[in-house]
Amino acid sequence: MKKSLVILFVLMLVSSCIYPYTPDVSDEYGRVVIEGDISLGTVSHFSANQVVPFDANFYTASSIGVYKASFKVEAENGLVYNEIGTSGDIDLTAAGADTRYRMVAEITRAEGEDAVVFASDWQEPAPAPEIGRLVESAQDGILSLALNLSSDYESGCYRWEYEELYHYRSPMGSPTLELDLETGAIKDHTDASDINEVLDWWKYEWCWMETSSRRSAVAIAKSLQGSTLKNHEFLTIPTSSDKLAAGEYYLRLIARSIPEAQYRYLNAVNEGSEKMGSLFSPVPGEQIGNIRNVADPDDYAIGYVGVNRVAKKLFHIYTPGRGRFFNPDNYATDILVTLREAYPEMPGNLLNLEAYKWGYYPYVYDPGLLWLPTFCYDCRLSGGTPEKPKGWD
Amino acid sequence: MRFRLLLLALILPISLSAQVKEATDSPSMLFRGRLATRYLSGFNGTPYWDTLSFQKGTVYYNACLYENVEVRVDACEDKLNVRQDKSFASIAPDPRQVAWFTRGSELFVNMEYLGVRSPARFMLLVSDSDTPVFKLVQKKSRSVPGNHNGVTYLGYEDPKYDEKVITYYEIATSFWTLDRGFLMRLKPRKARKLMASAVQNGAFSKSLPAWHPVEGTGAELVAPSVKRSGTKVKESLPVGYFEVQADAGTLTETIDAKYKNKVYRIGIAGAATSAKIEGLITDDEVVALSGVLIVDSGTGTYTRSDKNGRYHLTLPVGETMLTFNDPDKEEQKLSVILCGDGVLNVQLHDRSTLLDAASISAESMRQHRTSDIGIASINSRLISKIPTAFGEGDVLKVVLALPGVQTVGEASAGFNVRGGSTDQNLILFNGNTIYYPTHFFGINSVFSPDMTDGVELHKGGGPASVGGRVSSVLDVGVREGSSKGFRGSLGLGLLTSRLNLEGPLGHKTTINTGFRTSYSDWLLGLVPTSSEFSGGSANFYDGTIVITRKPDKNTTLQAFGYLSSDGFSFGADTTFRYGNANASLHWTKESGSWTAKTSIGLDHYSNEMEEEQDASEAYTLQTSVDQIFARLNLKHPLSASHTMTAGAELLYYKLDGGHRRPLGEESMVIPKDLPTETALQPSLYFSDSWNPDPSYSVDAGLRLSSFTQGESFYAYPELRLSGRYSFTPVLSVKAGLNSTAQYIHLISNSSSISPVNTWKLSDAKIRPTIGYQASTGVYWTILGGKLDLSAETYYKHVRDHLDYAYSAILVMNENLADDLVRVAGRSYGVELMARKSVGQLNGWVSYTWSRSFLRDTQNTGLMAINGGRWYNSPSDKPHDFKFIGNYAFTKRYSLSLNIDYSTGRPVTFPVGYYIYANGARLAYSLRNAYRIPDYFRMDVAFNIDPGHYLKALAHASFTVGCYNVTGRKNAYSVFYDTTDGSSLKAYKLSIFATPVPYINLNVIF
Repeated sequence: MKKSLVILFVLMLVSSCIYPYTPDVSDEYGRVVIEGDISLGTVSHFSANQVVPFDANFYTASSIGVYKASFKVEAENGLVYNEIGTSGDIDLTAAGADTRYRMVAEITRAEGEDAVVFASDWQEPAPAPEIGRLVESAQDGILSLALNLSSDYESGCYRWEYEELYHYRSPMGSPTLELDLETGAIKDHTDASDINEVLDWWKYEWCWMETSSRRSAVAIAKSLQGSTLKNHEFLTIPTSSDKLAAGEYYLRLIARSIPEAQYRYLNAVNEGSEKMGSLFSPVPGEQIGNIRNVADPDDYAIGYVGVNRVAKKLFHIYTPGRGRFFNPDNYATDILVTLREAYPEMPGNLLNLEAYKWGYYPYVYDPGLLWLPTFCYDCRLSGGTPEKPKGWD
Repeated sequence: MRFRLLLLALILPISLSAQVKEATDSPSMLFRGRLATRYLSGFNGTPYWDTLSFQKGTVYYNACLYENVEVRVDACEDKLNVRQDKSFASIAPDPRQVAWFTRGSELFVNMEYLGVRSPARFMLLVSDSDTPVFKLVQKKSRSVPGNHNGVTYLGYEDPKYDEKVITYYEIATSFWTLDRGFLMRLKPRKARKLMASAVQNGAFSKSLPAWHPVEGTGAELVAPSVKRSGTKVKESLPVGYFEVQADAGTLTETIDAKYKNKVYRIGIAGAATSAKIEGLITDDEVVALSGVLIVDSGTGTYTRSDKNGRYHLTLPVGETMLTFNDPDKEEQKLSVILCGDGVLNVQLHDRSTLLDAASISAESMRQHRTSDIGIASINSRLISKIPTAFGEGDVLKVVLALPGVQTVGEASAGFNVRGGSTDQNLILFNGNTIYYPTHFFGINSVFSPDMTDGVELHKGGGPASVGGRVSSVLDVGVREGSSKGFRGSLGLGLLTSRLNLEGPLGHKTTINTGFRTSYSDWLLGLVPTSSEFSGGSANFYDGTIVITRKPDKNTTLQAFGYLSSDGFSFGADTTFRYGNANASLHWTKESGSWTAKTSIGLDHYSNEMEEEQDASEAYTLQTSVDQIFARLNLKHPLSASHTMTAGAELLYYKLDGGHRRPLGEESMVIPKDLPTETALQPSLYFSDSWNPDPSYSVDAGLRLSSFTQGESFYAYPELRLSGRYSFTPVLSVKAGLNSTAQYIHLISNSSSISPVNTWKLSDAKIRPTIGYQASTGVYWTILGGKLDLSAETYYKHVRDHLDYAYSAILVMNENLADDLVRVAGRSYGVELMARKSVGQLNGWVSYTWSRSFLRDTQNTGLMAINGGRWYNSPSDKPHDFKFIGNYAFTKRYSLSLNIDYSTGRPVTFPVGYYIYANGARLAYSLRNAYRIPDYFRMDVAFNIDPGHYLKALAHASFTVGCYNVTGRKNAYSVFYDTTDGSSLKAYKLSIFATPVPYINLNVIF
């Protein structure tokens, strides 16, 4: 009886379902999208794209980007800050906070079209927030990081990005064997000075990796605790991650206070794309930011350009090193077996040289040997640098 | 030989033509010739079974045995005539209540009563063997008075022909047998063979209700006696049953019409040519019945009983027949000899069958008798007939089946009337205001069907006595308890169960209580943990209580209470709780021609949300609405044609805008409270109903409403005007004008109202919403009152309605007015309806074409919604078709069908995408520029009602049905998601995407 009741009830629950659907809408595209903030004290970046139909591919730049875009920042005191080349970057490190600013963009949607000038509204810079401590907590193999921000800006709304720097090692560390290029013999590496110069992969066991979210996700939050954002979780890292293996992980938090209107705009854009379909979700709608066509007040560009001052703070998160990350099964290769099958007559030492040419190096793996690709030894091949980048002290 | 044949061939036509010639000269000559035998065997001058003489017999009528009466069978009308003896006139008891009767030693049975499909009711049991044989005699009139040659094929000679007999009947005799509940016709040879071994008092006879062989004759009339064995035994006709009552004596003597077929003499004969007959109409529990239709067959005059069950008619003196009709009661036809003014009280009994669905025949008559326009009444019986999801009879689902009423989709808590928003409907439960009218995502309404007594929806804003909402007033009445004894009912369904108990508390007090609860919670607990619904909960309970005391016949005191609680969560991080609590006291007093009703009460609605997705930011959010009211309603007929109503109302509001508190030890949320709003809303009203003539009437009313909150003060006169003109008693036109003011608003920016949406009072920044409506209608009742046709049109204009701004934040916003936008609204439409109230098939079909638009009147240019142009309102559905049908195969078995089609509601669709903040974002169209797919749903239910035996201890009824029979995946909403990371795909959410079967059991005890 219970089972039949459950089946009946589940039948009711599963009778509500989600199905693919093709709405009959008139594709509207071509509306300009401008992204970026006027951040005083740093380099601000602006970009432009346009609305495309649904069948356009994300990764086809020509279908999303605009033909031509140029940006500048104007200050109400008459100063103008121009774009660096066509990068979209505008250096505002010297810009003062005693005046109002706006962004001006000249956009040409497609080749052959006239350029259209868009401008954001004049705004006073929001003050830089104070970045409090970073709270770490680890549970169930996950390290969570929570930030604390406070400001005199009454909106209680914030936006931030972060940069990371961490020390990491190649998966297999330094090789303990070496290959005699003349004889093709494999021997222990005992004396570094004897090693052929080209066999210097041991030098690249440790590297530094630098990443940035600056031009990635925009994180926003509105405080529920007045104007202070307390212990707001913003990043999680598995404790098994390479970032934490060496015990040297740096995080630079770049935070801004933003006006409530900008927060609402960004929040509405997020919710309109992510929180849909449920019974009580807000009805979405077109979002009109603060960027207008200078020549036509009824035309606008999607986006919201705010003006703010940036606060930065560097954090060093220390975690005990975990030692060498070793999982030879992921890297082991039967290259020699393959070579033997291809060249059954080849003597062993020549096979070794052949493997070397293919980019493999011997590794002791009790009871035998493994031939591993070079990125197992050379951390540079993962994108890191042997020297610590400047600006992280 | 050949010559003789040739001679015959020549002579015969000549002789025949001579005969024909003769016929045209003399009527008697026509009844001659080759059809003579047919005439002899097939025609005689009586409509009765075989003789027009009465014979002694016994009648089983309405669960009573009447012995030693005289009976005669009318084979033409398929009726029974009964009289005490030859000194009395005969009467025709309601054949539907006659189970069987005897005539001498013959037994006649009523096949219709037994639930057997039959060409006629009464059949003679000629053999009660294992294969019972029945004889049926049917007669049809074949001539008209004064015209012996009415049918041209009559032409034969009959020595018994009597020129004075003016009516001739054709006889058809047939024989039948009963095989597994079905009547099978027998060929005459087969019938004769079976009758050869005729048996009496066999198994069939003994299966009849309270059957026993007729014993003896000559029993005298005795006083009725009741035996508590389920049937009365050997009850003779009560003393005075058939006698015509002697003069009443005084004018004030009250006559209680207890006997259905009695002739009643009213008043004292005098010189007056007309007299007034009035009285009180009650049910079996001596509870006053309102809305009962009383029709005089002689003049066609009709009236309705008022709210206190009283009626009055002025008729010519003389003999007439009065018909008392109520949808839930057995129709009473009383023979009356009106001599002078007098009082005739009538008691209507419950229907023993549910076959006659005259649920709104009284309603159709009201269309032609009152000026009410845009009003729909629903009786309680209809509520249980309309199929719903999971089989729970629901008041709101019936309301949604009316033309002009729509919803934004399934699992939606509110409804829209004539293009208005959900908060523009005032929902009253016995006078108390309900702020959130549903449980369980809109599947169940807060009104238990066991407790409701009639539902009335005013689509034009309501009478002058109610106000406060622009679009409609939904008035749900509550049923008083039984005064005859304790009784109850138990309902078991897939998701909920309910219990109703009622009965007397002493001599003058009754109580009625109802409880409902859901058991979906423990069912969800049984769902496997791998399911996405695991860990969720959804439950509700509610209870209603009504205590009524009538210290005297002119005074009624009533206490009412309602309590409900809901809670649901899907997933562990968000929980919703909400509930209603209502209580009121009502005092009704009649003094002379004045009727006064005083009411006081309080209404409370609260909701709470718990958000625990992030422990450091976990919080609870609570809001509530409190309302205290006091009302005085007066009614007094100023003259025969003017009835005045007047009154006053005072409302006190207290709205908690919101309280946010931290939840859990880790939460860092700072408590926040929005200020509490309080306001007063006093109103006065006056209205006059003018009915100078049955052909036209006018209702005019004025309601002065005002509102005070802090330093804000608003006051508006609200007009309520309507008129009717009846070209004939069954063809009427009406027109109406009204204006209403609304001072409280529901703040919501979701498609479906959420239980945690907040209410907001008007203030300095948020003006009251004002609505104006003009409507007209044509009403036509045809086919002898069986079919009601109506066409209503309306135009509404609303100003200062509220819509939400772009990027609006509506929760815990102390500057809420800045996120709201004042809009104007306009809507218009045509509602067509055809309704059949009687017969085996009943129900209605309706089609509504309507439009509803909004326009931003607060902003201009780019910041105005849709650039300041008119845009579709969320409730704009141009086409709406509804079919509600119920077909009763027999008294017990019926089939219900419900079809609902409507245009998809407006939505705002994304029309492209762009990259922003490292993600694909949707670019949206203008607000409500597109529509989701059209909505279509068909439901079916098979109902098995309680059996005939009314005296059984308990009766069970079953309903087996299927919601959304076609399994159409009606879209509730549309949303988008990336699939392979390279493009966006659209999906639609359907609430009920498959047929949902259900079964319900109801036990009445």
